[in-house]
Amino acid sequence: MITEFLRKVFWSGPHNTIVAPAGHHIMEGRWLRDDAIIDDYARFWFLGSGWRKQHPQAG
Amino acid sequence: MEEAELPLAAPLPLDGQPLQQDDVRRAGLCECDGSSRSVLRGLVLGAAFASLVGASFIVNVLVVMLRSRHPQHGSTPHDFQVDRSPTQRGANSLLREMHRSSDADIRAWGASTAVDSDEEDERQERFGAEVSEQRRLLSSGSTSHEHHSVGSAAWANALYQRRAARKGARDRRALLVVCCVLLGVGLGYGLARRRPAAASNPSPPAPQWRRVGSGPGAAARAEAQLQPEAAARSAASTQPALAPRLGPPPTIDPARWKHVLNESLPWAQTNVPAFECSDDDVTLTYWYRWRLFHLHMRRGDKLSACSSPRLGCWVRTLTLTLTLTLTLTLTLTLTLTLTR
Repeated sequence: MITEFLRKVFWSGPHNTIVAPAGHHIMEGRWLRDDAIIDDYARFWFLGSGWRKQHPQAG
Repeated sequence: MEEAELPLAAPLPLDGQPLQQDDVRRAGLCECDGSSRSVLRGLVLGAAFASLVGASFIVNVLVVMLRSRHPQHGSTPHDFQVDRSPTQRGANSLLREMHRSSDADIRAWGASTAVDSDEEDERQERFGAEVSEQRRLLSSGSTSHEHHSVGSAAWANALYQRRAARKGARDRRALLVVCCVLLGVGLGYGLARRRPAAASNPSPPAPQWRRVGSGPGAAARAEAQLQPEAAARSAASTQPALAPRLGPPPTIDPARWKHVLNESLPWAQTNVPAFECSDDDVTLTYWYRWRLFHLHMRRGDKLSACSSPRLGCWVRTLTLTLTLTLTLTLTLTLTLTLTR
């Protein structure tokens, strides 16, 4: 998965992730030759522990 | 880095063969061929026609306006008032006479006045204000005739109507001018398109795009311009090169940006699409962003059954149902024993 802040911030979800920049991360990571990174990231948000933090309004 | 820049510095023409244009004529605005030239001519002719039509119309309007400025018979409000009572003089008689003028009279006067302008209306408004002021000062008790007097509502209404009619006429005139100009443009454009002046002004043939050289050795010659050594080799083998080659693709090594990539260099070499442009700042930013991206990558948790609502969590459900049934049976037995 890809985090927004290197240090732990209190408003972040599990593993210091934030849902708001997830789209940006995916758009950037699509350029990588290794698809597994972004696949894992999407799986984390939709199936993994990130699903509880999918706010209807990006938080 | 030098070996990466060298192939880029070489010219990259289309299809490996440089194009050349002969007989390029510079005509006024652009280098244009015959068709665009005729279109341009049509536009110019249409504009000229439209300006002619518009100028004639404007002259016509000006003449009409000048005529209206100098009316043959002046019919000022004073004339209007005095004509009705030429024999009587004095403010009282004048006022009484004014009061006798009906609404229809005022309307007719408003329609028939030759002086039809904003200045005239303002003068009459001032006159009406003076009259009403006089009437107020004199305080003549004839309030029953107030409706039709000069300072009255009907009089103001007539003035307003005149003003509105004038404004509408002005708008209609402007619309007519615009329509005429558009019509003139269209007509002139159509006329010019229908009658191309090719006979009177024979235009030279349109410039042709032509490949440099033509014939059997053209490709080889073009390649000789691009890659002298390769052309020499192909010439030595006496076989003309069929497909022009651009040389090997440039090799981009992110090792040049080691100072920003740091430990991410091997990862970037294997995973990141290579990028390089003439602006070193942009390239540096590109690789720095990938360094940060690599720093932000974390390993997450393994997917478990309880991590998703879709997968379901049987363990939790089983424990929950077991505890519920246990407590239920306990309470039941307790109550049964107590009641006995």
